[in-house]
Amino acid sequence: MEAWKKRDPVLAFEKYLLDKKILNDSKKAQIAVEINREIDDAVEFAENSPYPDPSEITNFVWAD
Amino acid sequence: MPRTINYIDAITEALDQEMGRDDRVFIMGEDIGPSGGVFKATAGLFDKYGEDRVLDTPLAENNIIASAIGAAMVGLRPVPEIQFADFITPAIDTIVQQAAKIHYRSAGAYTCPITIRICCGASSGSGLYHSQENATWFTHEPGLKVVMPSTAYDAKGLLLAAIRDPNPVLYFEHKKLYRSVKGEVPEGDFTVPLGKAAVRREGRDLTVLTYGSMVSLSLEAAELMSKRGVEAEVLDLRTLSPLDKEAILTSVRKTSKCLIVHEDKRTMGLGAELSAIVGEEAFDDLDGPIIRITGPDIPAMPFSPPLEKAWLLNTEKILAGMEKLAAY
Repeated sequence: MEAWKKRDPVLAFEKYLLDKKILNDSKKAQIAVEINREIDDAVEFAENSPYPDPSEITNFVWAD
Repeated sequence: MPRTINYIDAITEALDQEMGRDDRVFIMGEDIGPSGGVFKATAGLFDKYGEDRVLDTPLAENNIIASAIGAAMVGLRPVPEIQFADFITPAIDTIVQQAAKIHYRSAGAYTCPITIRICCGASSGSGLYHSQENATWFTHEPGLKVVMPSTAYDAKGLLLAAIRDPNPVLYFEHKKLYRSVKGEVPEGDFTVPLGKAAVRREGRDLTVLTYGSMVSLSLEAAELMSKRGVEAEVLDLRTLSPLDKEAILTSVRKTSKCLIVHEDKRTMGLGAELSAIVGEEAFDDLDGPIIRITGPDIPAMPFSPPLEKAWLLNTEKILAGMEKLAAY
Protein backbone atom coordinates (compact mmCIF):
# COMPACT_ATOMS: atom_id res chain seq x y z
CA MET A 1 0.00 0.00 0.00
CA GLU A 2 2.76 2.44 0.95
CA ALA A 3 4.64 1.66 -2.26
CA TRP A 4 1.54 2.53 -4.31
CA LYS A 5 0.91 5.71 -2.34
CA LYS A 6 4.35 6.90 -3.40
CA ARG A 7 3.19 6.47 -7.03
CA ASP A 8 0.00 8.55 -6.63
CA PRO A 9 -0.55 10.05 -10.11
CA VAL A 10 -2.27 13.18 -8.78
CA LEU A 11 0.77 14.04 -6.63
CA ALA A 12 3.11 13.05 -9.43
CA PHE A 13 1.35 15.45 -11.79
CA GLU A 14 1.56 18.24 -9.23
CA LYS A 15 5.29 17.61 -8.86
CA TYR A 16 5.66 17.64 -12.66
CA LEU A 17 3.91 21.02 -12.90
CA LEU A 18 6.06 22.46 -10.09
CA ASP A 19 9.27 21.09 -11.64
CA LYS A 20 8.39 22.59 -15.03
CA LYS A 21 7.54 25.90 -13.35
CA ILE A 22 4.03 25.76 -14.82
CA LEU A 23 2.81 25.92 -11.22
CA ASN A 24 4.34 27.59 -8.23
CA ASP A 25 3.30 27.72 -4.59
CA SER A 26 1.58 31.06 -4.89
CA LYS A 27 -0.42 30.03 -7.96
CA LYS A 28 -1.28 26.80 -6.19
CA ALA A 29 -2.64 28.72 -3.19
CA GLN A 30 -4.58 31.05 -5.49
CA ILE A 31 -6.22 28.14 -7.28
CA ALA A 32 -7.29 26.66 -3.95
CA VAL A 33 -8.81 30.02 -2.89
CA GLU A 34 -10.76 30.26 -6.17
CA ILE A 35 -12.05 26.72 -5.91
CA ASN A 36 -13.22 27.22 -2.36
CA ARG A 37 -14.91 30.47 -3.29
CA GLU A 38 -16.73 28.78 -6.18
CA ILE A 39 -17.92 26.01 -3.89
CA ASP A 40 -19.00 28.44 -1.16
CA ASP A 41 -20.90 30.54 -3.71
CA ALA A 42 -22.63 27.44 -5.05
CA VAL A 43 -23.62 26.29 -1.56
CA GLU A 44 -24.95 29.74 -0.70
CA PHE A 45 -26.94 29.87 -3.95
CA ALA A 46 -28.40 26.43 -3.31
CA GLU A 47 -29.31 27.12 0.32
CA ASN A 48 -30.97 30.42 -0.59
CA SER A 49 -32.92 28.99 -3.52
CA PRO A 50 -36.48 27.77 -3.17
CA TYR A 51 -37.27 24.12 -3.76
CA PRO A 52 -38.37 23.49 -7.36
CA ASP A 53 -42.01 23.06 -8.29
CA PRO A 54 -42.78 19.36 -8.95
CA SER A 55 -43.73 20.29 -12.51
CA GLU A 56 -40.04 21.03 -13.12
CA ILE A 57 -39.17 17.33 -12.87
CA THR A 58 -39.22 16.94 -16.65
CA ASN A 59 -37.01 19.96 -17.31
CA PHE A 60 -33.73 19.24 -19.07
CA VAL A 61 -34.49 15.64 -20.09
CA TRP A 62 -33.59 16.74 -23.63
CA ALA A 63 -31.18 19.38 -24.87
CA ASP A 64 -32.67 21.69 -27.51
CA MET B 1 -28.99 15.60 -57.51
CA PRO B 2 -29.80 12.08 -56.32
CA ARG B 3 -27.95 9.03 -57.50
CA THR B 4 -28.29 5.44 -56.42
CA ILE B 5 -25.78 4.38 -53.78
CA ASN B 6 -25.81 1.70 -51.15
CA TYR B 7 -26.59 2.07 -47.46
CA ILE B 8 -22.99 1.88 -46.26
CA ASP B 9 -21.74 4.39 -48.82
CA ALA B 10 -24.47 6.75 -47.64
CA ILE B 11 -23.01 6.46 -44.14
CA THR B 12 -19.46 7.15 -45.35
CA GLU B 13 -20.71 10.14 -47.31
CA ALA B 14 -22.54 11.57 -44.30
CA LEU B 15 -19.41 11.28 -42.14
CA ASP B 16 -17.23 12.81 -44.86
CA GLN B 17 -19.56 15.73 -45.52
CA GLU B 18 -20.17 16.50 -41.88
CA MET B 19 -16.46 16.37 -41.02
CA GLY B 20 -15.87 18.73 -43.93
CA ARG B 21 -18.63 21.05 -42.78
CA ASP B 22 -17.92 21.07 -39.03
CA ASP B 23 -14.40 21.06 -37.58
CA ARG B 24 -15.69 19.84 -34.24
CA VAL B 25 -16.69 16.46 -35.69
CA PHE B 26 -14.23 13.62 -35.34
CA ILE B 27 -14.51 9.85 -35.44
CA MET B 28 -12.96 7.14 -33.30
CA GLY B 29 -13.17 3.39 -33.05
CA GLU B 30 -11.48 0.05 -33.63
CA ASP B 31 -9.86 -0.31 -37.07
CA ILE B 32 -11.58 2.77 -38.46
CA GLY B 33 -8.39 4.59 -39.49
CA PRO B 34 -6.16 3.39 -42.32
CA SER B 35 -8.13 0.12 -42.48
CA GLY B 36 -11.33 2.09 -43.11
CA GLY B 37 -13.36 -0.06 -40.70
CA VAL B 38 -14.11 -3.77 -40.75
CA PHE B 39 -16.93 -3.21 -43.25
CA LYS B 40 -15.23 -0.18 -44.85
CA ALA B 41 -17.73 2.32 -43.47
CA THR B 42 -14.95 4.84 -42.82
CA ALA B 43 -12.91 4.14 -45.95
CA GLY B 44 -10.93 7.13 -47.20
CA LEU B 45 -11.56 9.31 -44.15
CA PHE B 46 -8.16 8.77 -42.54
CA ASP B 47 -6.35 9.84 -45.71
CA LYS B 48 -8.58 12.88 -46.06
CA TYR B 49 -8.80 14.12 -42.45
CA GLY B 50 -5.71 12.66 -40.79
CA GLU B 51 -4.98 11.12 -37.43
CA ASP B 52 -6.23 14.07 -35.41
CA ARG B 53 -9.80 13.54 -36.58
CA VAL B 54 -9.85 9.83 -37.41
CA LEU B 55 -8.69 7.95 -34.32
CA ASP B 56 -7.87 4.26 -34.21
CA THR B 57 -8.56 3.16 -30.67
CA PRO B 58 -7.53 0.17 -28.58
CA LEU B 59 -10.02 -2.66 -28.14
CA ALA B 60 -11.72 -0.97 -25.18
CA GLU B 61 -15.35 -0.04 -25.71
CA ASN B 62 -15.88 1.63 -22.34
CA ASN B 63 -12.87 3.87 -22.89
CA ILE B 64 -13.88 4.69 -26.46
CA ILE B 65 -17.28 5.92 -25.38
CA ALA B 66 -16.11 7.54 -22.15
CA SER B 67 -13.47 9.53 -24.05
CA ALA B 68 -16.07 10.59 -26.57
CA ILE B 69 -18.41 11.71 -23.80
CA GLY B 70 -15.65 13.81 -22.26
CA ALA B 71 -14.88 15.38 -25.64
CA ALA B 72 -18.56 16.11 -26.25
CA MET B 73 -18.89 17.80 -22.87
CA VAL B 74 -16.16 20.28 -23.75
CA GLY B 75 -17.71 21.21 -27.08
CA LEU B 76 -16.60 18.69 -29.69
CA ARG B 77 -18.88 16.44 -31.79
CA PRO B 78 -17.44 12.95 -31.57
CA VAL B 79 -18.88 10.08 -33.59
CA PRO B 80 -17.41 6.99 -31.93
CA GLU B 81 -18.03 3.57 -33.40
CA ILE B 82 -18.99 0.34 -31.69
CA GLN B 83 -17.76 -2.29 -34.12
CA PHE B 84 -20.49 -4.80 -33.26
CA ALA B 85 -23.52 -4.15 -31.05
CA ASP B 86 -22.61 -7.34 -29.20
CA PHE B 87 -19.57 -5.48 -27.82
CA ILE B 88 -21.43 -2.48 -26.45
CA THR B 89 -21.93 -4.02 -23.03
CA PRO B 90 -18.63 -2.79 -21.51
CA ALA B 91 -19.70 0.75 -22.44
CA ILE B 92 -23.23 0.59 -21.07
CA ASP B 93 -22.23 2.11 -17.74
CA THR B 94 -20.85 5.22 -19.35
CA ILE B 95 -23.71 5.50 -21.86
CA VAL B 96 -26.49 5.11 -19.32
CA GLN B 97 -24.95 6.58 -16.18
CA GLN B 98 -23.09 9.44 -17.88
CA ALA B 99 -24.28 10.31 -21.39
CA ALA B 100 -27.99 9.86 -20.69
CA LYS B 101 -27.91 11.90 -17.49
CA ILE B 102 -25.45 14.74 -18.06
CA HIS B 103 -27.87 17.33 -19.40
CA TYR B 104 -30.58 16.51 -16.88
CA ARG B 105 -28.41 16.34 -13.77
CA SER B 106 -26.57 19.56 -14.65
CA ALA B 107 -29.84 21.44 -15.31
CA GLY B 108 -28.68 22.05 -18.84
CA ALA B 109 -25.20 23.34 -17.91
CA TYR B 110 -23.62 20.48 -19.86
CA THR B 111 -24.67 18.75 -23.04
CA CYS B 112 -23.42 15.48 -24.45
CA PRO B 113 -23.78 15.68 -28.23
CA ILE B 114 -22.24 12.33 -29.11
CA THR B 115 -23.45 10.08 -31.90
CA ILE B 116 -22.49 6.45 -31.38
CA ARG B 117 -22.48 4.42 -34.60
CA ILE B 118 -23.28 0.78 -33.82
CA CYS B 119 -23.09 -2.06 -36.33
CA CYS B 120 -25.89 -4.46 -35.41
CA GLY B 121 -28.11 -7.27 -36.49
CA ALA B 122 -28.07 -10.79 -37.80
CA SER B 123 -26.38 -11.73 -40.99
CA SER B 124 -25.65 -15.18 -42.34
CA GLY B 125 -23.47 -17.25 -40.00
CA SER B 126 -22.40 -14.33 -37.80
CA GLY B 127 -22.88 -16.28 -34.57
CA LEU B 128 -23.61 -15.21 -31.04
CA TYR B 129 -21.27 -12.19 -30.79
CA HIS B 130 -21.75 -10.68 -34.22
CA SER B 131 -25.55 -10.88 -34.60
CA GLN B 132 -27.16 -8.92 -31.80
CA GLU B 133 -29.29 -5.83 -32.13
CA ASN B 134 -29.68 -4.67 -28.48
CA ALA B 135 -31.22 -1.32 -29.38
CA THR B 136 -34.03 -1.87 -26.92
CA TRP B 137 -31.71 -1.73 -23.93
CA PHE B 138 -31.22 1.94 -24.75
CA THR B 139 -34.82 2.81 -25.59
CA HIS B 140 -35.44 2.22 -21.90
CA GLU B 141 -33.15 5.14 -20.94
CA PRO B 142 -34.65 8.63 -21.07
CA GLY B 143 -32.04 11.09 -22.25
CA LEU B 144 -30.83 8.83 -25.06
CA LYS B 145 -32.13 8.90 -28.61
CA VAL B 146 -32.07 5.68 -30.63
CA VAL B 147 -32.37 5.44 -34.41
CA MET B 148 -32.15 2.63 -36.95
CA PRO B 149 -32.42 3.53 -40.65
CA SER B 150 -33.68 1.00 -43.18
CA THR B 151 -32.90 2.86 -46.43
CA ALA B 152 -29.81 4.46 -47.93
CA TYR B 153 -31.56 7.84 -47.96
CA ASP B 154 -32.33 7.61 -44.24
CA ALA B 155 -28.87 6.23 -43.48
CA LYS B 156 -27.34 9.52 -44.66
CA GLY B 157 -30.09 11.88 -43.52
CA LEU B 158 -30.51 10.37 -40.07
CA LEU B 159 -26.77 10.29 -39.43
CA LEU B 160 -26.41 13.97 -40.35
CA ALA B 161 -29.37 14.82 -38.11
CA ALA B 162 -27.97 12.68 -35.30
CA ILE B 163 -24.56 14.37 -35.36
CA ARG B 164 -26.23 17.80 -35.29
CA ASP B 165 -28.56 16.79 -32.42
CA PRO B 166 -27.34 18.14 -29.07
CA ASN B 167 -28.43 14.93 -27.32
CA PRO B 168 -26.62 11.59 -27.20
CA VAL B 169 -27.84 9.52 -30.16
CA LEU B 170 -27.31 5.80 -30.68
CA TYR B 171 -27.28 5.23 -34.42
CA PHE B 172 -27.79 1.55 -35.22
CA GLU B 173 -26.72 0.47 -38.70
CA HIS B 174 -27.88 -3.02 -39.64
CA LYS B 175 -25.01 -4.97 -41.17
CA LYS B 176 -27.28 -6.97 -43.48
CA LEU B 177 -28.38 -3.75 -45.15
CA TYR B 178 -24.90 -2.35 -45.81
CA ARG B 179 -24.58 -3.46 -49.41
CA SER B 180 -27.93 -5.13 -50.05
CA VAL B 181 -29.94 -1.93 -49.76
CA LYS B 182 -29.48 0.75 -52.38
CA GLY B 183 -31.44 3.88 -53.06
CA GLU B 184 -31.51 7.39 -54.39
CA VAL B 185 -29.57 9.67 -52.10
CA PRO B 186 -29.03 13.38 -52.72
CA GLU B 187 -25.36 14.33 -53.11
CA GLY B 188 -25.74 17.49 -51.10
CA ASP B 189 -26.71 18.28 -47.55
CA PHE B 190 -30.04 17.13 -46.15
CA THR B 191 -31.38 15.68 -42.94
CA VAL B 192 -34.07 13.23 -41.90
CA PRO B 193 -35.67 14.38 -38.65
CA LEU B 194 -35.30 12.24 -35.57
CA GLY B 195 -38.58 11.21 -33.96
CA LYS B 196 -40.49 10.79 -37.23
CA ALA B 197 -41.63 7.48 -38.69
CA ALA B 198 -42.13 6.94 -42.45
CA VAL B 199 -45.04 5.24 -44.20
CA ARG B 200 -43.35 2.88 -46.66
CA ARG B 201 -46.60 1.47 -48.00
CA GLU B 202 -50.11 2.80 -47.58
CA GLY B 203 -52.96 0.43 -46.77
CA ARG B 204 -56.43 0.36 -45.25
CA ASP B 205 -56.66 -3.06 -43.67
CA LEU B 206 -53.87 -3.51 -41.18
CA THR B 207 -50.86 -1.60 -39.84
CA VAL B 208 -47.38 -3.08 -39.60
CA LEU B 209 -45.05 -1.31 -37.14
CA THR B 210 -41.49 -2.28 -37.98
CA TYR B 211 -37.89 -1.08 -38.42
CA GLY B 212 -34.44 -1.99 -39.64
CA SER B 213 -33.98 -5.22 -41.58
CA MET B 214 -37.63 -6.14 -41.17
CA VAL B 215 -38.97 -3.29 -43.30
CA SER B 216 -38.20 -4.94 -46.65
CA LEU B 217 -39.50 -8.33 -45.48
CA SER B 218 -42.70 -6.68 -44.24
CA LEU B 219 -43.13 -5.02 -47.63
CA GLU B 220 -42.71 -8.38 -49.38
CA ALA B 221 -45.34 -9.93 -47.14
CA ALA B 222 -47.61 -6.95 -47.77
CA GLU B 223 -47.37 -7.52 -51.53
CA LEU B 224 -48.41 -11.15 -51.07
CA MET B 225 -51.36 -10.09 -48.90
CA SER B 226 -52.36 -7.54 -51.51
CA LYS B 227 -52.95 -10.39 -53.97
CA ARG B 228 -55.55 -11.69 -51.52
CA GLY B 229 -57.24 -8.32 -51.32
CA VAL B 230 -55.78 -7.24 -47.97
CA GLU B 231 -53.85 -3.98 -48.04
CA ALA B 232 -51.26 -3.61 -45.30
CA GLU B 233 -49.81 -0.27 -44.28
CA VAL B 234 -46.12 -0.53 -43.39
CA LEU B 235 -44.76 2.08 -41.00
CA ASP B 236 -40.97 2.24 -40.72
CA LEU B 237 -40.33 3.64 -37.23
CA ARG B 238 -36.78 4.87 -38.05
CA THR B 239 -36.46 6.43 -34.58
CA LEU B 240 -36.97 3.86 -31.81
CA SER B 241 -36.72 6.47 -29.10
CA PRO B 242 -38.47 8.87 -28.94
CA LEU B 243 -41.20 6.98 -30.81
CA ASP B 244 -43.39 8.82 -33.31
CA LYS B 245 -46.57 8.13 -31.37
CA GLU B 246 -48.64 10.36 -33.61
CA ALA B 247 -47.76 8.37 -36.73
CA ILE B 248 -48.27 5.07 -34.94
CA LEU B 249 -51.70 5.96 -33.56
CA THR B 250 -52.84 7.65 -36.80
CA SER B 251 -52.10 4.49 -38.74
CA VAL B 252 -53.69 2.11 -36.23
CA ARG B 253 -56.81 4.26 -35.97
CA LYS B 254 -57.08 4.11 -39.77
CA THR B 255 -56.71 0.33 -40.12
CA SER B 256 -57.92 -0.89 -36.69
CA LYS B 257 -55.38 -3.71 -36.70
CA CYS B 258 -51.80 -3.71 -35.50
CA LEU B 259 -49.01 -6.12 -36.33
CA ILE B 260 -45.53 -5.54 -34.93
CA VAL B 261 -42.44 -7.03 -36.58
CA HIS B 262 -38.92 -6.88 -35.19
CA GLU B 263 -35.83 -9.06 -35.57
CA ASP B 264 -34.83 -8.65 -31.93
CA LYS B 265 -36.06 -10.92 -29.14
CA ARG B 266 -39.70 -10.98 -28.07
CA THR B 267 -39.93 -10.46 -24.33
CA MET B 268 -39.57 -6.82 -23.32
CA GLY B 269 -38.68 -6.02 -26.92
CA LEU B 270 -39.80 -2.80 -28.58
CA GLY B 271 -42.99 -4.64 -29.59
CA ALA B 272 -43.97 -4.87 -25.95
CA GLU B 273 -43.81 -1.08 -25.60
CA LEU B 274 -45.62 -0.53 -28.90
CA SER B 275 -48.34 -2.96 -27.80
CA ALA B 276 -48.80 -1.08 -24.54
CA ILE B 277 -49.04 2.29 -26.28
CA VAL B 278 -51.50 1.05 -28.89
CA GLY B 279 -53.52 -0.90 -26.33
CA GLU B 280 -53.75 2.03 -23.98
CA GLU B 281 -54.29 4.86 -26.45
CA ALA B 282 -56.10 3.23 -29.39
CA PHE B 283 -58.17 0.64 -27.50
CA ASP B 284 -61.49 1.83 -28.93
CA ASP B 285 -60.14 1.68 -32.47
CA LEU B 286 -58.90 -1.92 -32.43
CA ASP B 287 -60.77 -4.73 -34.19
CA GLY B 288 -58.26 -7.41 -33.34
CA PRO B 289 -55.45 -8.27 -30.95
CA ILE B 290 -52.02 -6.66 -31.24
CA ILE B 291 -49.81 -9.37 -32.70
CA ARG B 292 -46.01 -9.46 -32.47
CA ILE B 293 -43.80 -11.34 -34.91
CA THR B 294 -40.33 -11.27 -33.42
CA GLY B 295 -37.06 -13.05 -32.82
CA PRO B 296 -37.28 -15.79 -30.18
CA ASP B 297 -36.36 -15.63 -26.50
CA ILE B 298 -33.15 -17.59 -26.93
CA PRO B 299 -29.82 -16.50 -25.37
CA ALA B 300 -27.58 -16.81 -28.37
CA MET B 301 -27.78 -16.82 -32.15
CA PRO B 302 -26.89 -20.36 -33.24
CA PHE B 303 -24.07 -20.88 -35.66
CA SER B 304 -25.56 -24.07 -37.09
CA PRO B 305 -27.35 -23.05 -40.32
CA PRO B 306 -30.69 -24.83 -39.75
CA LEU B 307 -30.88 -23.41 -36.22
CA GLU B 308 -29.99 -19.90 -37.39
CA LYS B 309 -32.68 -20.17 -40.05
CA ALA B 310 -35.20 -21.26 -37.41
CA TRP B 311 -34.27 -18.21 -35.33
CA LEU B 312 -34.56 -15.61 -38.07
CA LEU B 313 -37.74 -14.05 -39.39
CA ASN B 314 -38.68 -14.32 -43.06
CA THR B 315 -41.51 -13.29 -45.35
CA GLU B 316 -43.51 -16.45 -44.53
CA LYS B 317 -43.47 -15.84 -40.78
CA ILE B 318 -44.59 -12.23 -41.24
CA LEU B 319 -47.27 -13.32 -43.72
CA ALA B 320 -48.63 -15.80 -41.16
CA GLY B 321 -49.00 -12.92 -38.69
CA MET B 322 -50.78 -10.80 -41.28
CA GLU B 323 -53.16 -13.66 -42.15
CA LYS B 324 -54.00 -14.26 -38.48
CA LEU B 325 -54.76 -10.57 -37.94
CA ALA B 326 -56.66 -10.12 -41.20
CA ALA B 327 -59.03 -12.92 -40.16
CA TYR B 328 -60.49 -10.79 -37.33
